[in-house]
Amino acid sequence: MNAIEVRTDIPAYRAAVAELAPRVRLGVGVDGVRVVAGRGAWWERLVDAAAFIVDEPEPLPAAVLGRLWVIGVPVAVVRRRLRPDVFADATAQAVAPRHIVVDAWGGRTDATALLRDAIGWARVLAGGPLSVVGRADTAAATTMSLRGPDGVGLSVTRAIGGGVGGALVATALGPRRVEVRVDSTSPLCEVAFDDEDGRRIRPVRRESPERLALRRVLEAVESGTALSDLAELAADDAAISHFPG
Amino acid sequence: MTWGVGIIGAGPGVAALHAPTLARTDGDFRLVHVSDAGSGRAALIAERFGARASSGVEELLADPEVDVVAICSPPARHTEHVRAALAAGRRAIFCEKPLADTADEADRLVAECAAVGALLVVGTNHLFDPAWTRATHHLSALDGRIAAVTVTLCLSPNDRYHAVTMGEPLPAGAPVHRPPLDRDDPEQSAAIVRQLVAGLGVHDLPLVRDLVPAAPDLVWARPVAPVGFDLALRANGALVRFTTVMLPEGADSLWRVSVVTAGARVEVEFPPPFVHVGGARTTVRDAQGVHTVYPIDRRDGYEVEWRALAALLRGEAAMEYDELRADAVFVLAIADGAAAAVRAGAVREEAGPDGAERAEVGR
Repeated sequence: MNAIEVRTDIPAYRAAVAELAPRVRLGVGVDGVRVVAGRGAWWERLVDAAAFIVDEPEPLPAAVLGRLWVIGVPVAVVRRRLRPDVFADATAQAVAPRHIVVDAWGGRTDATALLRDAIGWARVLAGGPLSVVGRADTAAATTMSLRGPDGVGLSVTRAIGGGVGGALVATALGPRRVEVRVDSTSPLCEVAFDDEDGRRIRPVRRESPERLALRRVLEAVESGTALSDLAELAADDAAISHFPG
Repeated sequence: MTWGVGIIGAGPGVAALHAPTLARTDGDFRLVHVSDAGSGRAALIAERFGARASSGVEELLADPEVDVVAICSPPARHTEHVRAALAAGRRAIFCEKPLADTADEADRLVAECAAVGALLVVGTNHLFDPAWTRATHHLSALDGRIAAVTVTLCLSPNDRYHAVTMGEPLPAGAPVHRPPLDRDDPEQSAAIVRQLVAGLGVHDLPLVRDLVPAAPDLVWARPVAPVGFDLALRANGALVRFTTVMLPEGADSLWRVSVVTAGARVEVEFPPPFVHVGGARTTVRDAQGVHTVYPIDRRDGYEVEWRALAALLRGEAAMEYDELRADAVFVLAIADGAAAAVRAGAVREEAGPDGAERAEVGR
């Protein structure tokens, strides 16, 4: 089997290529994978490759949300606060949430993406699409009320503080609870389930986010399956852009 | 000196909480009298603690050994029983929360206590928890404006916690016959949300007021099934989100208050109700990413609220009637606002800047 070429000059992804050799190698072929840094108009750079990885995308403008649906090739979106392997852990046990709360705190420069990722965790724990019910903003905080599948309520709060990075706590409240803690001070996320038998903490995920993304996009290319990352990103961006704060 | 305590009320909050808690006050208090409304449970509790029992309040209020009247009756009777204690010349009162059912009533009641110089402690135990004092000191030292406060409760039935503070369970009270709950009825939902905010939210809304004291604007309020509420407030330029769910089964109770400033996120996790294994657990995550976990104080809010009353009785602390009044009015105004919002349509939906009221996303 020929190695798939990966076009990137981002050191972390060059390391991921090394960690996935011989399945991949560095190159610039249009049949390969292109890693796109999520700064600026990153969506304009989703060209000239058979699959893409978008690293920490800045929030999408409303005008672009619809355009992304027509790309038609696998796109893995890297959101370090919202790793696919961690949300697989968080949904590994059945939880019947009565309500879901997400509290996030982070620096101003990253505030919009932090709120978007907090919405993403709400969506993951709700298990489906969300509708925005209300929103309030102050100079240093935003709180949103949402509704999920089967009418479950969700409340997402994002406060501005700290320097770079931040922290996020997402909790599904019910007879069995699941709580996810993500903090920029650690690359390891914590997923814990609480029920009548006590607390069980899932093993931490130790694969680098870059290798995880590259492995996922390779598997999608090889199997011909689609990835839902871009649609989920667009959904989360749409939630925060409807009532711009 | 040891003050004799007469407790009006004979439910689990007396048998599993206040009666044994008095034994934690280093001899400041002893239970001398318990009264019920005719259930017969006062005698069972009194026997366990070597106290007297009676039915109704007259005998207890006339008992010369009662120095302190503790009002642990059903919430709807708190006001009546505070007034009865005052009328009987009692000048040291512990009243379980809520103090009154309306803001006006709370205002009048505190004024009546102040007029005769009666000492009054309301059992908002979280406000007395040493961890909360520590958290507020930490926040004051940071000198940072409060950006957001979030309160999250997910509560299991209390009876699992009664078992760790009682030698034997109390016999069950007479069954309460309630009509089936119609969750689609806004009036019923509004009444439940109001009762929950006034009776359960009262644990933590005084903490919120500690941080953001201005009269809050309600952003939204909605019921949460099976029993609970979710609301948001705006006060002093900060946002407050308060969510509570009461469940018939499930995980250990979660009771968490988080406060965010520009410089730190402080998380205070209170122990479940009734238990005495120390106060709340406080963790601070600062802007540099440093996590600080404070030791858990051996004393909890239940114990400290009684010690606060002892300090008042000894003249070591001053009564703050205005604070009591303001706390009660703050809570009841939010309860009224939340009920009105729920009655008006379950969720008061805020329009966005573009005028749209709701966005469907994620499809």
